Amino acid sequence: MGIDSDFTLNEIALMSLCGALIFVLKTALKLPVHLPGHSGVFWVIPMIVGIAMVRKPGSGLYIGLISGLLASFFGIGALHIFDLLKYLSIGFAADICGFVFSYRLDNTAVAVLTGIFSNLVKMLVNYGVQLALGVQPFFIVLGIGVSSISHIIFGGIGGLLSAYIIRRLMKAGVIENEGNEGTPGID
Amino acid sequence: MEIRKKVGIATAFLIIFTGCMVALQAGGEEWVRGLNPDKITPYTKAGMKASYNWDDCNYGPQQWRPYKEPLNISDSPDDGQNGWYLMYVRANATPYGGNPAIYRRGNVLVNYSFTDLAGTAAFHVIGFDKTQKCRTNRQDGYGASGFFVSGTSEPGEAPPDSSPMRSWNNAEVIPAGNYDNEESLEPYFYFIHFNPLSGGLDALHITDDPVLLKGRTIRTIATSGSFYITHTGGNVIDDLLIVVCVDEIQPETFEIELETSLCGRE
Repeated sequence: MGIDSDFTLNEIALMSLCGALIFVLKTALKLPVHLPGHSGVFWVIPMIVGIAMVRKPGSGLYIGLISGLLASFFGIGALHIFDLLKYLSIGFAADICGFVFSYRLDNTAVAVLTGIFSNLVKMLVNYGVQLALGVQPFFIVLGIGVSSISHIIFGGIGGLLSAYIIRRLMKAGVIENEGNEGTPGID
Repeated sequence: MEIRKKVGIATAFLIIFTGCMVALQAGGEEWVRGLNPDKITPYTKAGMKASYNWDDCNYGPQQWRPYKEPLNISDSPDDGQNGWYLMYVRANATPYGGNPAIYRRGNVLVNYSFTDLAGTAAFHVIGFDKTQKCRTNRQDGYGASGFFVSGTSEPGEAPPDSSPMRSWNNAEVIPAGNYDNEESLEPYFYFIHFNPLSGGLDALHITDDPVLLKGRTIRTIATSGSFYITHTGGNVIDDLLIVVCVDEIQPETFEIELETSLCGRE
Protein backbone atom coordinates (compact mmCIF):
# COMPACT_ATOMS: atom_id res chain seq x y z
CA MET A 1 0.00 0.00 0.00
CA GLY A 2 1.53 3.31 -1.02
CA ILE A 3 0.64 6.62 0.48
CA ASP A 4 0.15 9.65 -1.70
CA SER A 5 1.98 12.46 0.03
CA ASP A 6 1.08 15.36 -2.27
CA PHE A 7 -1.82 17.52 -1.17
CA THR A 8 -4.43 18.63 -3.65
CA LEU A 9 -5.75 22.14 -3.64
CA ASN A 10 -8.99 20.95 -2.04
CA GLU A 11 -7.08 19.20 0.72
CA ILE A 12 -4.96 22.27 1.41
CA ALA A 13 -8.12 24.39 1.63
CA LEU A 14 -9.74 21.84 3.95
CA MET A 15 -6.69 21.62 6.23
CA SER A 16 -6.40 25.41 6.33
CA LEU A 17 -10.02 25.63 7.41
CA CYS A 18 -9.44 23.02 10.12
CA GLY A 19 -6.38 24.94 11.34
CA ALA A 20 -8.36 28.16 11.40
CA LEU A 21 -11.20 26.39 13.21
CA ILE A 22 -8.82 25.31 15.98
CA PHE A 23 -7.80 28.92 16.44
CA VAL A 24 -11.42 30.13 16.37
CA LEU A 25 -12.53 27.49 18.88
CA LYS A 26 -9.65 28.35 21.20
CA THR A 27 -10.55 32.02 20.98
CA ALA A 28 -14.34 31.85 21.03
CA LEU A 29 -14.96 29.02 23.48
CA LYS A 30 -13.67 30.10 26.83
CA LEU A 31 -14.91 27.43 29.20
CA PRO A 32 -14.95 28.43 32.87
CA VAL A 33 -13.13 25.20 33.76
CA HIS A 34 -9.93 26.00 35.55
CA LEU A 35 -8.25 22.71 34.80
CA PRO A 36 -5.15 22.28 32.65
CA GLY A 37 -5.81 20.87 29.20
CA HIS A 38 -9.55 21.47 29.18
CA SER A 39 -9.41 23.16 25.79
CA GLY A 40 -8.45 19.74 24.39
CA VAL A 41 -12.16 18.89 24.47
CA PHE A 42 -12.72 21.00 21.37
CA TRP A 43 -9.43 21.77 19.65
CA VAL A 44 -8.62 18.10 18.90
CA ILE A 45 -11.86 17.77 16.92
CA PRO A 46 -10.85 19.81 13.82
CA MET A 47 -7.40 18.24 13.99
CA ILE A 48 -8.65 14.64 14.01
CA VAL A 49 -11.50 15.25 11.56
CA GLY A 50 -9.10 17.05 9.19
CA ILE A 51 -6.61 14.17 9.29
CA ALA A 52 -9.42 11.64 8.85
CA MET A 53 -10.62 13.45 5.74
CA VAL A 54 -7.21 13.95 4.10
CA ARG A 55 -5.49 10.76 5.28
CA LYS A 56 -2.00 11.76 4.25
CA PRO A 57 1.19 12.13 6.31
CA GLY A 58 1.84 15.77 7.12
CA SER A 59 -1.84 16.72 7.24
CA GLY A 60 -1.75 17.14 11.02
CA LEU A 61 1.49 19.09 10.79
CA TYR A 62 -0.08 21.42 8.23
CA ILE A 63 -3.21 21.95 10.37
CA GLY A 64 -0.96 22.60 13.38
CA LEU A 65 1.11 25.08 11.37
CA ILE A 66 -1.96 27.11 10.36
CA SER A 67 -3.45 27.18 13.86
CA GLY A 68 -0.01 27.89 15.37
CA LEU A 69 0.64 30.79 13.02
CA LEU A 70 -2.75 32.28 13.82
CA ALA A 71 -2.30 31.76 17.57
CA SER A 72 1.19 33.30 17.51
CA PHE A 73 0.15 36.20 15.31
CA PHE A 74 -2.85 37.09 17.46
CA GLY A 75 -1.06 36.26 20.70
CA ILE A 76 -3.87 34.25 22.28
CA GLY A 77 -1.50 32.19 24.41
CA ALA A 78 1.03 33.19 26.99
CA LEU A 79 3.89 31.83 24.90
CA HIS A 80 3.21 33.99 21.83
CA ILE A 81 5.72 33.02 19.10
CA PHE A 82 6.48 29.78 20.92
CA ASP A 83 2.83 28.79 20.53
CA LEU A 84 3.82 27.82 17.02
CA LEU A 85 5.95 25.02 18.46
CA LYS A 86 3.03 23.85 20.58
CA TYR A 87 0.59 23.65 17.69
CA LEU A 88 3.14 22.07 15.38
CA SER A 89 3.82 19.41 17.97
CA ILE A 90 0.14 18.54 18.41
CA GLY A 91 -0.21 18.26 14.66
CA PHE A 92 2.86 16.05 14.53
CA ALA A 93 1.54 13.82 17.33
CA ALA A 94 -1.86 13.47 15.63
CA ASP A 95 -0.08 12.72 12.37
CA ILE A 96 1.97 9.95 13.97
CA CYS A 97 -1.17 8.44 15.53
CA GLY A 98 -3.04 8.63 12.21
CA PHE A 99 -0.17 6.95 10.38
CA VAL A 100 0.37 4.23 13.01
CA PHE A 101 -3.34 3.40 13.12
CA SER A 102 -3.66 3.51 9.31
CA TYR A 103 -5.96 6.54 9.48
CA ARG A 104 -8.80 4.49 11.08
CA LEU A 105 -9.86 7.54 13.05
CA ASP A 106 -13.51 6.52 12.81
CA ASN A 107 -12.58 3.81 15.30
CA THR A 108 -13.50 5.15 18.74
CA ALA A 109 -10.42 3.76 20.50
CA VAL A 110 -8.08 5.16 17.85
CA ALA A 111 -9.69 8.61 17.90
CA VAL A 112 -9.63 8.71 21.71
CA LEU A 113 -5.95 7.72 21.79
CA THR A 114 -5.14 10.30 19.13
CA GLY A 115 -6.91 13.01 21.16
CA ILE A 116 -5.09 11.94 24.31
CA PHE A 117 -1.64 11.78 22.73
CA SER A 118 -2.07 15.13 20.99
CA ASN A 119 -3.19 16.82 24.19
CA LEU A 120 -0.36 15.24 26.17
CA VAL A 121 2.26 16.28 23.63
CA LYS A 122 0.87 19.80 23.82
CA MET A 123 1.33 19.70 27.59
CA LEU A 124 4.90 18.42 27.34
CA VAL A 125 5.93 21.00 24.74
CA ASN A 126 4.27 23.71 26.80
CA TYR A 127 6.27 22.72 29.87
CA GLY A 128 9.44 22.32 27.80
CA VAL A 129 9.17 25.85 26.45
CA GLN A 130 8.43 27.20 29.92
CA LEU A 131 11.50 25.46 31.33
CA ALA A 132 13.60 26.80 28.47
CA LEU A 133 12.34 30.29 29.23
CA GLY A 134 13.47 30.01 32.84
CA VAL A 135 10.35 28.97 34.77
CA GLN A 136 11.49 27.23 37.91
CA PRO A 137 11.10 23.44 37.68
CA PHE A 138 9.07 23.04 40.88
CA PHE A 139 6.25 25.10 39.37
CA ILE A 140 5.88 22.35 36.79
CA VAL A 141 6.82 19.28 38.79
CA LEU A 142 4.32 20.05 41.56
CA GLY A 143 1.37 19.76 39.18
CA ILE A 144 2.53 17.48 36.41
CA GLY A 145 0.69 14.36 37.65
CA VAL A 146 -2.68 16.06 37.98
CA SER A 147 -2.09 17.96 34.76
CA SER A 148 -1.32 14.73 32.85
CA ILE A 149 -4.53 13.13 34.08
CA SER A 150 -6.66 16.15 33.14
CA HIS A 151 -5.01 16.33 29.70
CA ILE A 152 -5.78 12.65 29.18
CA ILE A 153 -9.41 13.07 30.20
CA PHE A 154 -10.09 16.16 28.08
CA GLY A 155 -8.10 14.91 25.08
CA GLY A 156 -10.00 11.62 25.31
CA ILE A 157 -13.36 13.38 25.35
CA GLY A 158 -12.32 15.41 22.31
CA GLY A 159 -11.25 12.22 20.54
CA LEU A 160 -14.56 10.56 21.39
CA LEU A 161 -16.50 13.46 19.86
CA SER A 162 -14.23 13.35 16.81
CA ALA A 163 -14.96 9.66 16.23
CA TYR A 164 -18.67 10.35 16.40
CA ILE A 165 -18.38 13.26 13.94
CA ILE A 166 -16.20 11.21 11.55
CA ARG A 167 -18.70 8.33 11.56
CA ARG A 168 -21.56 10.75 10.87
CA LEU A 169 -19.57 12.27 8.01
CA MET A 170 -18.92 8.78 6.65
CA LYS A 171 -22.59 7.93 6.88
CA ALA A 172 -23.41 11.15 5.03
CA GLY A 173 -20.87 10.26 2.36
CA VAL A 174 -18.57 13.22 3.01
CA ILE A 175 -15.76 10.80 3.93
CA GLU A 176 -15.55 7.56 2.01
CA ASN A 177 -16.15 4.55 4.25
CA GLU A 178 -14.01 1.84 2.74
CA GLY A 179 -11.42 1.16 5.37
CA ASN A 180 -8.00 2.08 4.04
CA GLU A 181 -8.59 0.96 0.53
CA GLY A 182 -9.98 3.28 -2.00
CA THR A 183 -9.91 6.20 0.42
CA PRO A 184 -8.39 9.47 -0.68
CA GLY A 185 -4.63 9.59 -0.39
CA ILE A 186 -4.10 5.87 0.14
CA ASP A 187 -3.47 3.68 -2.86
CA MET B 1 -0.23 -5.46 13.11
CA GLU B 2 -3.96 -5.30 13.60
CA ILE B 3 -5.57 -2.19 15.05
CA ARG B 4 -6.60 -3.90 18.29
CA LYS B 5 -3.00 -4.83 19.09
CA LYS B 6 -1.78 -1.31 18.35
CA VAL B 7 -4.50 0.15 20.57
CA GLY B 8 -3.45 -2.20 23.36
CA ILE B 9 0.20 -1.17 23.08
CA ALA B 10 -0.72 2.52 22.97
CA THR B 11 -2.96 2.14 26.03
CA ALA B 12 -0.20 0.37 27.94
CA PHE B 13 2.22 3.14 27.01
CA LEU B 14 -0.31 5.71 28.18
CA ILE B 15 -0.75 3.99 31.55
CA ILE B 16 3.01 3.81 32.08
CA PHE B 17 3.41 7.48 31.09
CA THR B 18 0.66 8.59 33.48
CA GLY B 19 2.18 6.53 36.29
CA CYS B 20 5.56 8.14 35.66
CA MET B 21 4.06 11.65 35.75
CA VAL B 22 2.18 10.97 38.99
CA ALA B 23 5.37 9.51 40.49
CA LEU B 24 7.30 12.57 39.30
CA GLN B 25 4.80 14.85 41.03
CA ALA B 26 4.95 12.83 44.25
CA GLY B 27 8.75 12.81 44.14
CA GLY B 28 8.76 16.52 43.31
CA GLU B 29 6.74 17.32 46.39
CA GLU B 30 9.33 15.54 48.52
CA TRP B 31 12.13 17.27 46.65
CA VAL B 32 10.63 20.73 47.19
CA ARG B 33 10.16 20.02 50.91
CA GLY B 34 13.84 19.18 51.16
CA LEU B 35 15.03 22.32 49.39
CA ASN B 36 16.95 24.84 51.42
CA PRO B 37 14.66 27.91 51.68
CA ASP B 38 17.62 30.10 50.75
CA LYS B 39 17.80 28.34 47.38
CA ILE B 40 14.21 29.22 46.55
CA THR B 41 13.83 32.56 44.89
CA PRO B 42 12.32 35.06 47.29
CA TYR B 43 9.42 36.94 45.81
CA THR B 44 10.88 40.31 46.51
CA LYS B 45 13.35 42.88 45.39
CA ALA B 46 16.34 44.25 47.18
CA GLY B 47 14.76 46.68 49.63
CA MET B 48 15.77 50.31 49.90
CA LYS B 49 17.15 52.99 52.16
CA ALA B 50 16.16 56.62 51.67
CA SER B 51 15.39 59.85 53.49
CA TYR B 52 12.34 61.98 52.94
CA ASN B 53 11.48 65.43 54.16
CA TRP B 54 8.46 67.63 54.54
CA ASP B 55 8.29 68.46 50.83
CA ASP B 56 7.72 64.78 50.05
CA CYS B 57 4.26 64.89 51.61
CA ASN B 58 2.45 65.20 48.31
CA TYR B 59 -1.10 64.74 49.55
CA GLY B 60 -3.36 66.29 52.16
CA PRO B 61 -4.65 67.67 54.35
CA GLN B 62 -7.31 64.99 54.41
CA GLN B 63 -8.96 62.70 56.94
CA TRP B 64 -8.78 59.42 55.09
CA ARG B 65 -6.56 56.98 53.27
CA PRO B 66 -7.45 55.05 50.11
CA TYR B 67 -9.68 52.00 50.00
CA LYS B 68 -13.06 51.17 48.43
CA GLU B 69 -14.46 53.66 50.90
CA PRO B 70 -12.48 56.27 52.81
CA LEU B 71 -10.61 54.64 55.71
CA ASN B 72 -9.70 56.55 58.83
CA ILE B 73 -5.99 57.00 59.21
CA SER B 74 -6.11 56.64 62.97
CA ASP B 75 -8.59 54.98 65.30
CA SER B 76 -7.98 57.68 67.92
CA PRO B 77 -10.17 60.79 67.73
CA ASP B 78 -7.29 62.81 69.20
CA ASP B 79 -5.18 62.28 66.08
CA GLY B 80 -5.45 64.23 62.88
CA GLN B 81 -8.00 66.80 63.88
CA ASN B 82 -6.52 69.25 61.39
CA GLY B 83 -6.16 66.62 58.71
CA TRP B 84 -3.30 64.34 57.71
CA TYR B 85 -0.51 64.87 55.20
CA LEU B 86 0.42 61.75 53.26
CA MET B 87 3.46 60.50 51.40
CA TYR B 88 3.69 57.23 49.49
CA VAL B 89 7.05 55.51 49.67
CA ARG B 90 8.05 52.64 47.40
CA ALA B 91 9.16 49.78 49.64
CA ASN B 92 11.04 48.00 46.82
CA ALA B 93 10.38 44.77 48.72
CA THR B 94 7.27 42.65 49.10
CA PRO B 95 6.23 40.23 51.83
CA TYR B 96 5.18 36.74 50.84
CA GLY B 97 3.11 34.43 53.00
CA GLY B 98 1.70 31.99 50.47
CA ASN B 99 2.73 28.48 49.44
CA PRO B 100 6.29 27.92 50.72
CA ALA B 101 6.94 25.51 47.88
CA ILE B 102 6.67 28.25 45.33
CA TYR B 103 8.47 31.23 46.83
CA ARG B 104 10.48 31.77 49.95
CA ARG B 105 8.21 33.23 52.58
CA GLY B 106 9.23 36.43 54.29
CA ASN B 107 8.17 39.68 55.88
CA VAL B 108 9.35 43.14 55.00
CA LEU B 109 11.32 44.66 57.85
CA VAL B 110 10.97 48.45 57.95
CA ASN B 111 13.44 50.47 59.99
CA TYR B 112 12.37 54.06 60.50
CA SER B 113 13.97 57.07 62.09
CA PHE B 114 12.26 60.45 62.48
CA THR B 115 14.03 63.72 63.02
CA ASP B 116 11.93 66.50 64.58
CA LEU B 117 8.54 64.84 64.35
CA ALA B 118 5.62 66.97 65.46
CA GLY B 119 2.32 65.35 66.35
CA THR B 120 1.59 61.78 65.29
CA ALA B 121 2.94 59.81 62.36
CA ALA B 122 1.02 56.79 61.09
CA PHE B 123 2.29 53.97 58.86
CA HIS B 124 -0.01 52.00 56.59
CA VAL B 125 0.63 49.83 53.53
CA ILE B 126 -0.86 49.43 50.09
CA GLY B 127 0.12 46.38 48.05
CA PHE B 128 -0.45 45.71 44.37
CA ASP B 129 -1.04 42.18 43.14
CA LYS B 130 -0.12 40.94 39.68
CA THR B 131 -3.41 42.17 38.28
CA GLN B 132 -2.78 45.58 39.86
CA LYS B 133 -5.59 45.19 42.37
CA CYS B 134 -4.72 46.76 45.70
CA ARG B 135 -4.60 45.37 49.22
CA THR B 136 -4.19 47.35 52.44
CA ASN B 137 -4.04 46.76 56.18
CA ARG B 138 -7.36 46.55 58.04
CA GLN B 139 -8.32 49.66 59.95
CA ASP B 140 -11.02 48.66 62.42
CA GLY B 141 -12.25 45.64 64.28
CA TYR B 142 -10.66 42.19 64.43
CA GLY B 143 -7.38 42.07 62.60
CA ALA B 144 -6.81 45.83 62.58
CA SER B 145 -3.17 46.84 62.34
CA GLY B 146 -1.12 49.97 62.00
CA PHE B 147 1.94 51.68 63.42
CA PHE B 148 1.76 55.09 65.14
CA VAL B 149 4.64 57.20 66.39
CA SER B 150 4.17 60.26 68.57
CA GLY B 151 6.71 63.06 68.28
CA THR B 152 7.50 65.90 70.66
CA SER B 153 8.75 68.63 68.33
CA GLU B 154 6.91 71.89 67.92
CA PRO B 155 4.75 72.05 64.78
CA GLY B 156 6.01 74.08 61.87
CA GLU B 157 4.21 76.89 60.11
CA ALA B 158 4.65 76.26 56.41
CA PRO B 159 2.32 73.61 54.95
CA PRO B 160 3.83 71.48 52.20
CA ASP B 161 3.04 71.98 48.54
CA SER B 162 0.31 69.36 48.63
CA SER B 163 -3.33 68.88 47.83
CA PRO B 164 -5.88 66.33 49.02
CA MET B 165 -6.23 63.20 46.92
CA ARG B 166 -9.09 63.51 44.49
CA SER B 167 -10.55 60.10 45.33
CA TRP B 168 -10.06 57.22 47.77
CA ASN B 169 -10.30 54.64 45.00
CA ASN B 170 -9.19 54.59 41.37
CA ALA B 171 -6.71 57.37 41.96
CA GLU B 172 -3.14 57.80 40.81
CA VAL B 173 -0.47 58.74 43.34
CA ILE B 174 3.06 59.91 42.75
CA PRO B 175 5.47 58.26 45.19
CA ALA B 176 7.83 60.35 47.24
CA GLY B 177 11.38 60.81 46.02
CA ASN B 178 12.89 61.23 42.62
CA TYR B 179 12.62 58.73 39.80
CA ASP B 180 14.41 58.86 36.52
CA ASN B 181 12.00 59.92 33.84
CA GLU B 182 12.52 61.08 30.35
CA GLU B 183 11.05 64.52 29.97
CA SER B 184 8.60 63.37 27.36
CA LEU B 185 7.11 60.74 29.62
CA GLU B 186 4.36 61.12 32.16
CA PRO B 187 5.48 61.37 35.80
CA TYR B 188 6.01 58.04 37.51
CA PHE B 189 2.80 57.16 39.33
CA TYR B 190 0.90 54.28 40.88
CA PHE B 191 -2.76 53.72 40.18
CA ILE B 192 -4.60 52.71 43.32
CA HIS B 193 -7.49 50.42 42.49
CA PHE B 194 -9.48 48.40 45.01
CA ASN B 195 -11.85 46.08 43.21
CA PRO B 196 -15.36 46.69 44.58
CA LEU B 197 -16.25 43.03 44.01
CA SER B 198 -13.31 41.49 45.84
CA GLY B 199 -11.59 41.92 49.19
CA GLY B 200 -8.55 43.99 49.93
CA LEU B 201 -8.19 44.15 53.68
CA ASP B 202 -6.98 40.81 54.97
CA ALA B 203 -3.79 40.10 53.08
CA LEU B 204 -1.34 42.71 54.36
CA HIS B 205 -0.66 43.52 58.00
CA ILE B 206 1.66 45.59 60.16
CA THR B 207 3.19 44.08 63.27
CA ASP B 208 6.09 44.57 65.64
CA ASP B 209 6.28 40.86 66.36
CA PRO B 210 6.83 38.59 63.35
CA VAL B 211 5.10 35.77 65.23
CA LEU B 212 1.87 37.78 65.12
CA LEU B 213 1.45 37.56 61.38
CA LYS B 214 -2.04 39.07 61.40
CA GLY B 215 -0.59 42.20 62.93
CA ARG B 216 -1.83 44.65 65.54
CA THR B 217 -2.08 48.34 66.20
CA ILE B 218 1.10 49.64 67.77
CA ARG B 219 1.56 53.04 69.39
CA THR B 220 5.00 54.22 70.41
CA ILE B 221 6.95 57.33 71.32
CA ALA B 222 10.18 55.88 69.93
CA THR B 223 11.12 58.07 66.98
CA SER B 224 13.48 55.32 65.75
CA GLY B 225 12.51 51.71 65.54
CA SER B 226 11.21 49.03 63.30
CA PHE B 227 8.13 47.05 62.35
CA TYR B 228 7.24 44.29 59.94
CA ILE B 229 4.87 44.17 57.01
CA THR B 230 3.41 40.68 56.68
CA HIS B 231 1.37 38.84 54.07
CA THR B 232 -0.97 36.01 54.97
CA GLY B 233 -1.93 34.49 51.66
CA GLY B 234 -4.18 35.39 48.81
CA ASN B 235 -2.71 36.85 45.66
CA VAL B 236 1.02 37.42 45.51
CA ILE B 237 1.90 41.03 46.21
CA ASP B 238 3.90 42.39 43.33
CA ASP B 239 4.67 45.88 44.57
CA LEU B 240 4.30 47.73 47.85
CA LEU B 241 3.83 51.32 48.94
CA ILE B 242 4.32 52.42 52.53
CA VAL B 243 1.87 55.19 53.36
CA VAL B 244 3.42 57.65 55.82
CA CYS B 245 0.92 60.09 57.31
CA VAL B 246 1.60 62.98 59.69
CA ASP B 247 -1.11 64.99 61.42
CA GLU B 248 0.69 68.26 62.05
CA ILE B 249 2.51 70.77 59.92
CA GLN B 250 6.09 69.67 60.35
CA PRO B 251 9.09 71.91 61.06
CA GLU B 252 11.53 72.52 58.21
CA THR B 253 14.04 70.23 59.86
CA PHE B 254 11.63 67.28 59.73
CA GLU B 255 13.06 64.16 58.13
CA ILE B 256 12.20 60.50 58.03
CA GLU B 257 14.71 57.84 57.11
CA LEU B 258 13.28 54.52 55.94
CA GLU B 259 15.07 51.27 55.27
CA THR B 260 13.31 48.14 54.01
CA SER B 261 14.58 44.60 53.60
CA LEU B 262 13.21 41.09 53.33
CA CYS B 263 13.28 39.12 56.53
CA GLY B 264 12.79 35.41 55.82
CA ARG B 265 10.41 33.34 57.88
CA GLU B 266 9.94 29.64 58.38
